[in-house]
Amino acid sequence: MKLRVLFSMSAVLASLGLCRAAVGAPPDTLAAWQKPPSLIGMTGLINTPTADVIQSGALRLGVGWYDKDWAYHARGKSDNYHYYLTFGFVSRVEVSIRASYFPDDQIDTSTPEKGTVDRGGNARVLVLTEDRLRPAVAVGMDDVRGTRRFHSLYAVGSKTFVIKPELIRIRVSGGYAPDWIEAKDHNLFGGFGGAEVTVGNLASWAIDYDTEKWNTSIRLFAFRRVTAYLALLNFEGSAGGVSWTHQF
Amino acid sequence: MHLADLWVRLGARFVLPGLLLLVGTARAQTPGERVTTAMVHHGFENVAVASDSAITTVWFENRIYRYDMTALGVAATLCAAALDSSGGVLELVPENRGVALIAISAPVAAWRDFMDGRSDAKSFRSGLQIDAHRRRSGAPLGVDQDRANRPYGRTDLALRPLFGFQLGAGRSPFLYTVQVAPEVTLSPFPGGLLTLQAAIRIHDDLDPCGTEDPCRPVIFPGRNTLSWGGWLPAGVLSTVSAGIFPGDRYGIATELGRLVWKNQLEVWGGGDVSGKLLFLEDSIEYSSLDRWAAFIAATHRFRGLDLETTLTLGRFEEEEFALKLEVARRIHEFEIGFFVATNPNSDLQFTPYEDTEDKSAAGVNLRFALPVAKYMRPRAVRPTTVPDFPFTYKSTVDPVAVQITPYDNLDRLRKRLYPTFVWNEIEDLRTANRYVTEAGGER
Repeated sequence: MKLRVLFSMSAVLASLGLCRAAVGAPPDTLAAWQKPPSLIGMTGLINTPTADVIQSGALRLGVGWYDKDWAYHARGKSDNYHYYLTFGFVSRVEVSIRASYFPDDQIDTSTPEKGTVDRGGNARVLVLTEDRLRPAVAVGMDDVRGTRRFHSLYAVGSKTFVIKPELIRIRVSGGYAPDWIEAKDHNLFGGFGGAEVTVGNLASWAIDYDTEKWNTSIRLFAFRRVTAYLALLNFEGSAGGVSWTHQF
Repeated sequence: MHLADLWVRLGARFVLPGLLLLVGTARAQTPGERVTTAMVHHGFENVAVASDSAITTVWFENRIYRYDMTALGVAATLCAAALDSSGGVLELVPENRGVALIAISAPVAAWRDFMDGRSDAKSFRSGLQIDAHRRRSGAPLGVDQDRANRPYGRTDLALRPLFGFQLGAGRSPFLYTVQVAPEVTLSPFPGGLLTLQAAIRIHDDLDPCGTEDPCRPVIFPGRNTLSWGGWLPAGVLSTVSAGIFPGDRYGIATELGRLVWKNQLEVWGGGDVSGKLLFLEDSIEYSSLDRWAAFIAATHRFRGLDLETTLTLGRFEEEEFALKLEVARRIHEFEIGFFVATNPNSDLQFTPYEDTEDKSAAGVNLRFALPVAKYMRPRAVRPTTVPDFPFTYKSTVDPVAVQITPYDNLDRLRKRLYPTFVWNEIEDLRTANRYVTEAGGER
């Protein structure tokens, strides 16, 4: 059912005349800052990954914030802050480490002390690069070890449609996340996907389905380094973040 | 005596010696001497030049550029400008504290064309020879020769930032320490390095008595060590460091290593003997030299990809056997490495092992270059800055694969100038063009 929604969305995009758009492989030529992160720091849409990896030797530092209403951890109790460092370790491999802070979460409710943390590491491998007809395909795992509060194991494919070269492009992604690995929580479990419309080097609008809800966001790019974004989770709860990217 | 004879005699006594002096001065400007003059004038130390009909070898030490690839590029530009255009081969041997590190040679014309941008990295590499043990002629790297502009005894003053943090230790979500450390360093003799450092506490969540009433003084000794580095027989590079180390330890630590297999694999090892030394507000706590660690390691560095993988195994300070794997990238002056260390609960433990579960730790090592890229020329006393900011984060406070951090280790002695690194980052030689012109003048 969910996958059907995703496919129907692609069909809608196609029916809008995009079938006349050029089909190519621009993501390989994009700079690191043009591949913005999801809220947990890996390259992606809002809550979902895409089949993109940050360039080899590129470093991204940032923070993503979730309102407590749609936070993955301590939902309804505490906002979630994810501080991350993402790095293009070698060509086609993206790794990320994350430190999360939950200011209103409590380990022991008998004391007034609040605030807990979680740490995790994510990795993604680009298995197939995009060509004229074939989508890019990547596999990855979030929150690789430990308690796995934010775990996902997934395969994802992405395809870009260039509407107007160097001005408007649309990238559509879809994937599947099984629950093969034992974890405290699975962020993604089932079919997921989304799309992003990028306008020049200034801004993008994204929508994704994260196996639980639909989300949308606007991202702004500045100084060829900085990405700032605001998101509506389930089209109601707020989230956002900012990241800085540098290519070594 | 005729007046004419007198003029002739006067001429013989005064004019001829003057002419000979002039001739002598002109003769002094051999290419080798021009290279020495240019290198010393630019601020390089420990400069020596040896020339034969085919190869000009230049030994030098850089303490003016933060990045040693920049210094290599500057040295190449200065030397190529000072040598004749026919030139032969120019071989550069950078040193650290008088210890020759590597020999890099190419035809003078190739250096010149590459530095000027007339040839690309691929064609430059085709004539390039890099070796960590021998010069192009087959002679050893080092040379016993008079040096110009010797660095020994010159003192550097710097202010080093120190930062550490730990997530999720106990109930505290975020613990951190911030210190600044005034530091004095000098090389008293070839291979030697004396470091005197005081740490000034700005913020310390890791104080043993807590932040409310800390028991550490505001100022306490930081890293205070006397170190030596140099070559041993069979191409083994070694370092020894003794004194007070970070982490409240004192003792002695050593490392030995050799590059093998096309200079792409480094087999190295080390160990330390240490005791606890904790400076508190009103006392000093210490223990005898009762802890020791010993390890062997292998590091592989690719030629063509700046990725290095290190596998370490050994007996560490908690008397435990542990394995550590680190995969790192060194890109220009930036370094990032992810590591995992495990202390398996096995029969390999050196003492009865009470824990029923394996212990493991994962983390990241980062090294960022700090802003100043070119320093003041070395002098008797020089204010300067530290070149980079190293930072390590480990996922647990559990003591897994813990050993002394000697700092003056093999890696620091080599100044990153591994043959593979020079090969991979050869384009970075051109960063020298920010500082010198093609003719060898300063920008």
